[in-house]
Amino acid sequence: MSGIIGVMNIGQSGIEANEAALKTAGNNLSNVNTPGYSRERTIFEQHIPDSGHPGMVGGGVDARRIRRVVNHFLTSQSTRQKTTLGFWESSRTSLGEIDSYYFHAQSEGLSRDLSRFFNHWETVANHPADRAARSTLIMYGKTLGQDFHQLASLYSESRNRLSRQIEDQVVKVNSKITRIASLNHRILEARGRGEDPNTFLDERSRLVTEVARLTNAHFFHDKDGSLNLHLGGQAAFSEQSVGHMTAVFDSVHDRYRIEFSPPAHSGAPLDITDRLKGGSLGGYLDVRDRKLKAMEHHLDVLAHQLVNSVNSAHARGYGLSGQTGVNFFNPTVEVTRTKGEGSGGLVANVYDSSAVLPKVEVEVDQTGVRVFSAKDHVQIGSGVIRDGVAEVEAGGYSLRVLAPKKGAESFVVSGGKDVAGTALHLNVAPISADDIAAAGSPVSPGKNEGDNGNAHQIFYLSQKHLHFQGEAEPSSLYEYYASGVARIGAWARQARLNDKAQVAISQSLENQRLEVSGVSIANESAKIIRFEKAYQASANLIQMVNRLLDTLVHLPNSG
Amino acid sequence: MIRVTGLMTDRSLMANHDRATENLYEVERQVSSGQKADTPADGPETMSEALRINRTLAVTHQIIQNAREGANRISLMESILSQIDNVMIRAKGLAIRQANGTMDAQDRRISAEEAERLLEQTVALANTRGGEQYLFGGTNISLPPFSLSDKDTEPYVVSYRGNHKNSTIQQGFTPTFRQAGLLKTTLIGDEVLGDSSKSPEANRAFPAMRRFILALKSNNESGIHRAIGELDTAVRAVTERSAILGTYERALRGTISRLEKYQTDLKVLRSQTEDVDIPKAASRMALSQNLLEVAAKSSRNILQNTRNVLFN
Repeated sequence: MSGIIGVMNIGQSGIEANEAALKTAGNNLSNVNTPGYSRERTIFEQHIPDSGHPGMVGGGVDARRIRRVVNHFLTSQSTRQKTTLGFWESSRTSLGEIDSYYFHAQSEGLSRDLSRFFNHWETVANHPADRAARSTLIMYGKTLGQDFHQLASLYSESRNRLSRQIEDQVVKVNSKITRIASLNHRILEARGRGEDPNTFLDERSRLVTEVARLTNAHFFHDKDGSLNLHLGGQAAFSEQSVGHMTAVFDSVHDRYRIEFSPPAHSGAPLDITDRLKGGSLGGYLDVRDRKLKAMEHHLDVLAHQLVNSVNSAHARGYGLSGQTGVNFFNPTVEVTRTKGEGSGGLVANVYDSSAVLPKVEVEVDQTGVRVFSAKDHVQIGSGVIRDGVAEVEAGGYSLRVLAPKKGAESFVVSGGKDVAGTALHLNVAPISADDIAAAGSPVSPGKNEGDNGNAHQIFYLSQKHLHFQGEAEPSSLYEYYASGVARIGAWARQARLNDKAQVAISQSLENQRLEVSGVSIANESAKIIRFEKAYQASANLIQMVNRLLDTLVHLPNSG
Repeated sequence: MIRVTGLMTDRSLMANHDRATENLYEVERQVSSGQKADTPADGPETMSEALRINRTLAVTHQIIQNAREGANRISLMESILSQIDNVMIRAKGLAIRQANGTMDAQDRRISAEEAERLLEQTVALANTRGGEQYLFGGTNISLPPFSLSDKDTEPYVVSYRGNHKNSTIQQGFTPTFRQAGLLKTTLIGDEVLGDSSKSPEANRAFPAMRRFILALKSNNESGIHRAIGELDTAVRAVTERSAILGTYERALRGTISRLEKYQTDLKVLRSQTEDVDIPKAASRMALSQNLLEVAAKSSRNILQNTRNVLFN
């Protein structure tokens, strides 16, 4: 429209455009602290000018669009980095908890009580007839058992806590992908109407970041602006439906299986556990099902070695009343009599965990002992009865055999490889002070009570290099314990340092994102002043046109 | 030009503040506990090394205890043998006096009474207990090793009731004699003092004293003459064993001294491994405190400036 009314329209367009810009700047300011908010900018465009005399004159301004100011590359980098951050953050907290169980481990807890237990064998050796020293030794053995129980229970508690964390993370993932799918629809609908769904885009971006922090999701944008999100190689949602993640506890292997039912999937859920290597879910799974399990196994192997080494040596010795073949700790090996009337006996313990057979058969009569592999009944060892007793080492077992008074007896020895749960069940056998086998040769009341050879041998076990299950090289009990402490320390430290590094990287990326998308109060305040002035000027233009029109209306009629 | 937004400033300030606080917390933890590592994650290598040193220290401590126990026991045995030695010398003196041809049967019967008392004293000394155990009975430690028979049925017979094994103490890191890890801490009594029941003719204290008393009682001058030499041989056997025990004891004292030095070295090593260098930590703490104060002050200034720019 040309003429003076056209000028008024130009003023009106200025008012409308600057009002929109003021709204945008105001909205930016009000969202200055909103997480994930990307600042917006009003895009002004001038009206296509009319052609005419004296030339093309502009037709005012139009607020065409409200555009989000984002750098997609930076946003994407920042989001992906959250997966690594989530992994190390969850690893740090959960490993830090396990690390704290070893507070002052160098001088307290298991290391101190192991030392005290083994050293006290020397006190018994120095005073072999002192029943008080023997009773104290039993008490130290029980204390040691309690240390193992305590650590095993703490591990178990940690595992339960991590189970809850894993299940929580899965619930959160499901909730967030449902919301992302919903936002995807709304964004596409808005785009279809030619609108800029900035708020939805920000919200979707924030949710994607949260999912990335929870698990290693793969995501990419389509040309139409919709977002595709893949979990464990499977699309998390489609236009019609949303997939569902489930944490399934596998009690046989004591581990979690993460299953995913992709949208419109009719078959059994897919196991994606092996693909989840990042995010807090990946971190919790890694700690619970790998690291914590390894530490529990380490503790069980230590307990297994302690029980079997001490028992093997103890069963060889003699107590004050002449008893022999007595275990100090409850054995980890099972002995079952399969033949015979029961006058003989067999005490079995593992002496070489690295080479122990799952099951062996033992036959004994008054003259000797024969040991067979249960698998193929091949003879693997034998021994001669002397003074009614035989000592045989075969198939990784140390066997203390008491000859039957008549006939023959047979036994099955099994469970040499079973270490799981040893720490939790480690306990001193029901023995009395007199049963402690400090002597290396037969004792009877008043005779040979000062023999302390076996007590020295048991003390020496604490320094001796032993074969631990699953270890190529032999090591002492302390070295093995120290290796576990160092391992948890190294893991917790690595998690602590990596988390620190990831936090710094995350902050740096977030700063870079904020550099582009963040709201600057100063900038927005300046813009508000600018738009206010423009608004006022446009209003002035309308006022001026109004005055001109008045002038025109009141012109004197010259005709 | 970098575009600096309010959130960036806030986050940066908070991150710096957190970092400074974390550093201060770490140094404060070290200073207050005095240890470089409280948990394994604070220093996995430190913890592992400290565990190794502590175990070696505990073993060394026990071996020192053993050696002290052994040294005391051997010292006691040496002292008893020395007293037996004195008693035997008195018996020998008595024999020399009674060998004189001027002594008559009456004198010798009276001296026999004195010799009997000396025999009883020797038996009592040989049956001395070290703590809860007898020392001269081998590993038969709960019964008196020597028993004096009834005067009427077996006069002046001292029988050995111990065995021929030894209790040991572990004075080294391995339980073997070959590597000097074990040391015998009981004596096989009949080897030193004899058994007048099983070996009545042996030149050891108890058989020799029995023969001497019987010679005195029967006024057997040649028997008394023989007793002088026999008692002398028996004394030498006791003295020799006492001297051997003396060398054992000195060796043990030497071992204790060496192990104590080793223990001190280990403690120094442990301290170097575990303990915080307090002056260094204190200076680090002062530095961290300053950094925290500077961080807090700069945060305040930045926020103040922002406010001034915006609202004034």
